[in-house]
Amino acid sequence: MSTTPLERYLAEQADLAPVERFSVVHDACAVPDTGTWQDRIPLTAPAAGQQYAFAVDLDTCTGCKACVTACHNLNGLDDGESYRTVGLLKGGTPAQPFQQTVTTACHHCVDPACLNGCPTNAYEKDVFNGIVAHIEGRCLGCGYCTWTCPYEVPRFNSNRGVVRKCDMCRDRLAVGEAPACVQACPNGAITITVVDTAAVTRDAPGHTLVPTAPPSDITLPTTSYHSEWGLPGGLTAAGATLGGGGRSHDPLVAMLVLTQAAAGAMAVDLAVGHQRSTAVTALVLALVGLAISIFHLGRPERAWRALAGWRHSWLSREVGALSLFGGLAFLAVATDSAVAQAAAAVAGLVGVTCSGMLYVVTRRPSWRAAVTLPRFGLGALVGGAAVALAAGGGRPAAMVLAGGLAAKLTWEAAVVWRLDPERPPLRGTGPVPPHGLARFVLGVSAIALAVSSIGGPGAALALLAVLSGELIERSRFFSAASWTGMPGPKR
Amino acid sequence: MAVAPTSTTAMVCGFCSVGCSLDVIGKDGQAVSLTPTKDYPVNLGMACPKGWEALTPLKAPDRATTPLLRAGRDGPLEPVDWPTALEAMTTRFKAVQATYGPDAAAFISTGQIASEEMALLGAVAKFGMGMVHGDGNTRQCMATAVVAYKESFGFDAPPYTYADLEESDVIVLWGANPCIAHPILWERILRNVHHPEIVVVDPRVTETAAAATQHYPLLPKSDLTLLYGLAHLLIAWGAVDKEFIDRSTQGYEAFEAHVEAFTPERVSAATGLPPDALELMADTIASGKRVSFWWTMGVNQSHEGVRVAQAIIDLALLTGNIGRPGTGANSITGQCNAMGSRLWSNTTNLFGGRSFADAGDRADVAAILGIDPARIPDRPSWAYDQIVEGIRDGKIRALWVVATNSAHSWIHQNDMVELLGRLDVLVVQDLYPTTETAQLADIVLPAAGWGEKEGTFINSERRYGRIRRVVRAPGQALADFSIFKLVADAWGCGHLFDEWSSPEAVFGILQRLSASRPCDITGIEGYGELEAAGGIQWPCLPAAGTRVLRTTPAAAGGGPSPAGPALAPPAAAGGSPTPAGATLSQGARQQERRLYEDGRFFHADGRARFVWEEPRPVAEPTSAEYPFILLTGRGSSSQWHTQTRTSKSAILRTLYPEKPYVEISPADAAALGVSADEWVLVRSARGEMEARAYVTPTVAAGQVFVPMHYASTNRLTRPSFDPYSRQPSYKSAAVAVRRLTESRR
Repeated sequence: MSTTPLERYLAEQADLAPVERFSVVHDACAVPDTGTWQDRIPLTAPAAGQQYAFAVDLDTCTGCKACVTACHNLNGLDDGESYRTVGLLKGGTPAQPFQQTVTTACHHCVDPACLNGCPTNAYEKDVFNGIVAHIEGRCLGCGYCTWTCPYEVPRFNSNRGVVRKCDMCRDRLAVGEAPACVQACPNGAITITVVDTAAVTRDAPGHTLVPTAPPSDITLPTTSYHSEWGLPGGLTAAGATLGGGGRSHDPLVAMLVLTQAAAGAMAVDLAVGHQRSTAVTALVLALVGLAISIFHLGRPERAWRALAGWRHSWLSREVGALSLFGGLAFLAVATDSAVAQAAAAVAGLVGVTCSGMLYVVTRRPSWRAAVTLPRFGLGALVGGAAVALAAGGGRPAAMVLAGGLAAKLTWEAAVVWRLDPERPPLRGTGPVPPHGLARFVLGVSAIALAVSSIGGPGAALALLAVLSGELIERSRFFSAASWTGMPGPKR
Repeated sequence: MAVAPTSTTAMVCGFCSVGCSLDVIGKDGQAVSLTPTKDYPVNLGMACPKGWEALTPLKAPDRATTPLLRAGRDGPLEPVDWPTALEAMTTRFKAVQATYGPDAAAFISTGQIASEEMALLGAVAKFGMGMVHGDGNTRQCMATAVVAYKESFGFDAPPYTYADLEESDVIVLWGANPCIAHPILWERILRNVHHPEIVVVDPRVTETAAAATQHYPLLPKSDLTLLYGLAHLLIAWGAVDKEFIDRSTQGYEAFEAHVEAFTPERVSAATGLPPDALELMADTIASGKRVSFWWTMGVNQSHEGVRVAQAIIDLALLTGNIGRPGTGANSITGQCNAMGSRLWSNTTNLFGGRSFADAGDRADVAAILGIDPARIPDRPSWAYDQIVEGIRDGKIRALWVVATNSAHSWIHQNDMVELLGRLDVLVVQDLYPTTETAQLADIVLPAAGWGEKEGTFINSERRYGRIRRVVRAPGQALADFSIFKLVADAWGCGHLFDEWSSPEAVFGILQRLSASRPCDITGIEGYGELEAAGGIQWPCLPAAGTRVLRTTPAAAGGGPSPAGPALAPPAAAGGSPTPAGATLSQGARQQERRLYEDGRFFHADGRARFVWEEPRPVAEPTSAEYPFILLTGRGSSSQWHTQTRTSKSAILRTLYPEKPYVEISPADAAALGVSADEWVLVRSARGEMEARAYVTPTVAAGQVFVPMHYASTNRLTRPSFDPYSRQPSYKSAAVAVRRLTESRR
């Protein structure tokens, strides 16, 4: 059978047999010698009180970023995914300009904040070698660890609905092979060392891993960065890190506003004179808020695991308290019992406190206690009062709402929206954004409505204005959050 | 290990000229992943990000899978079958040639395809289709080094081997940023155990400058003055190797007279470097026992790049830093097969560094190839810029662009795009129909890429390495080799290339063409030995005692050349002049070999030439309207040129800014009222681009830097060229910068 040259070339193009001519052929179980690079890892495993750690020689890290692609390839990660990043510090003087690339992966902290915050115990710190590993099968994709880790190491993988992070290639280390990034550095800038955890703890206060990195006393990171030449002062990062995992926080905004209003309503209702309709409304808001929060989970089917970390995770505690609140609120409505409602109110307010604490413990400046707790507490007060007013709470509810909202707006003006130029801003500088003005218009309108129309449609409008204003304010809570992390690259 | 492999295939990488080897891991006949080859003498188990991601661009969804033909003049590109596309191409090219003469059809080749492929393209286009003009994108990166070496050494033969980086006690990196552009060469520098002084000459504080022991931030394009100033000091101090100069060079006295005028005062004024810095630099060179000089695009892409490169060579000759371990005046090339293009593209030079204008050379080639000498053009091709000007003048009407992206990469881009639109027919052969150039094409030919075809690349240190087919190309895409064969058949000249039946057969032809030339590779026993030896540097003669891996010598690929006597085998050379005027490295075929160890060069008298010229001003000085000097260059190790391939990798895309950016000094940013990350407009007399301001003290006041990878960068660049190499001067243009208002964004 004769073939045309074109047919022949196309057939040739599909024929990979010539590969075999020169290939080293392996039997089924053998792997090629890609090198173990044993000179870059410790000879012995860590002893008691010790653990493995990354060590980076800044003088030989010149920013080729092979470590990033090697991590991606050797670990078979998803498109665009790597557990290592390379940032850039710049500065110096016009006479002596300076730049330094900084390669970063997980710091396998002595006191890992990812682990501490995880509601499902999806993190484990190996007691023998100190490696902090993440177990994907336990992760419900809440993303809380992307906030608790001050280095923003865990990254949310939206395709898988879970967070993923570096495990120091522990399978490789276990067989005496260097981790992917370590073996791939052309300059040998990354090595594995053994460190004394007591020394890490002792040296952490007042220390940062590199300039612009978060304080080391938060999590006691074990990575060490060395430079014989030293780094000049006043360095800045070329860019920010990812910041909050790049996800929408809308479900959390709604959950916080609604559950806080509901908890507040149960309490305000008891204080200003009980209306069953207030409790009913509160129950509805609580259930809606809790339901919406599910949308923030990458793997909502695993939501049932969320209580597992209650010993250490404020998120678990929040979930527990708010769930209890929901149950007690249902009981209160079903039985119309003051005792049940009081119990619900207590559970609700505990839940609100847990909500606040889970942000406070991240130690991000914009989420510090003085900013977060008044916000959530006053939010519960004004939301609760607005619910009570709309449900027929009358003048007492109106007074609580007007007073509470006036106080909250005043506080917000000084702290959240920075109307006072003397106060240090939460983050960056700049004028009050347009939605900030909207928030105040809504707030003042709500006060006016509360004072002028004690009941009827005006009260319902006031509730709407209060909840809308709170949603705007709570969005700000996330959008203006201060992200920390290691130095980022040019963006 | 994610996958238990069934085979591992080593092949050299298809991005840059370092020529790393990658082990492509196969599973059930298909490549699934790769790791850098541990025992390859170039990269020693390492790769840069591009290398790690070399397989990813092959899987891009926008691969060309069928030929495309534009419907009408302005219609869309539509899929057609191969015979239709080839018929359209050959009919239109023949029509152009019939009307305007055979030289109205031209081609633009590339440093990105295999030597065997570019040789076939050069042969088919010139000997088969009657074209005269063809050039390569290597004009944009290597032309300067080629011309400099040819004139100074007598042949385009870089002296070095990468091991020289490990053996120097002074390493001078001139206009080179290996940390970013050639990370694996930086790896080799860090393996140097002699605590070398690392001297970086670069206007910017690059990553390499930051890692060096000495950095000289000269004013842009003051290189030539600085080099002559260094020569002036070295001569004044008597820090010259008189014995080497007397024995191995020509023109020293006149050179000495020339640099007399380059006093420290003059040089300091021109370069912006204080006189004591000049003295420190000259002293560092003078005190070095093994000084190596390395240059890259900071030198080559210049209005006087050839003279700058030759001034570097002059310094090496002056101080006797050549032909010994750890020395040399060494050009680091750009593309994976830039050197293949220098030897085998059949564009500027006739095959194997021969001359089209030389009747003897033409007869030589005709005899080796068994073709009529009349088929070989008797004049060299126009250079790239002359072909471009030929389009403007209506002399070039049909253009065949292979594996390059002219509409992105050529200098003064707006003009280039307009000119490409004037062609009667533009054929683009590429992996992707989505490149800026392919989008302008009348016919797109779908090519297989690196990893999908066979052949050899030659790296910067003259090392031949293999590429292989380990992945199936998508759809109807074909190896460039097969496409050239099909075009030849469709043209009716296929019979001339019957012997060019496969890449390996062509390798045998190239061996015959190399015989008795300085680039002689008749000693290589085909692809098999290339593979077994871990790549082989040229020259490689079939002499006794040169084999390292074979116990019984077999017949060399093509046998000895019928034309002329073979170059004397090294073992017998003993320092006496060979017909080419040079002897080559002695001894067994080591993995790392350098040239000129006997102090003999390729000129007929065996001597290297001192070459110099008075420095000239740049074509476009800054002005009140355009007060900044625009520098362009590589942005990151994760980007390759016009991003045709590297942009396909998601992980690589995370490693550099997605949007164009301009590096600007804090002082200039403050004066312009520009804060970090703000959008600015960068404007030249030719065009403008929007970019984010990256405010950094690593660029000097009065200068801005824009990476070349962004499609809008070359709207700004000014088309000026080195008069000898015709290489474009990408790193010198005058621009203005201003803040973009919110409304403009």
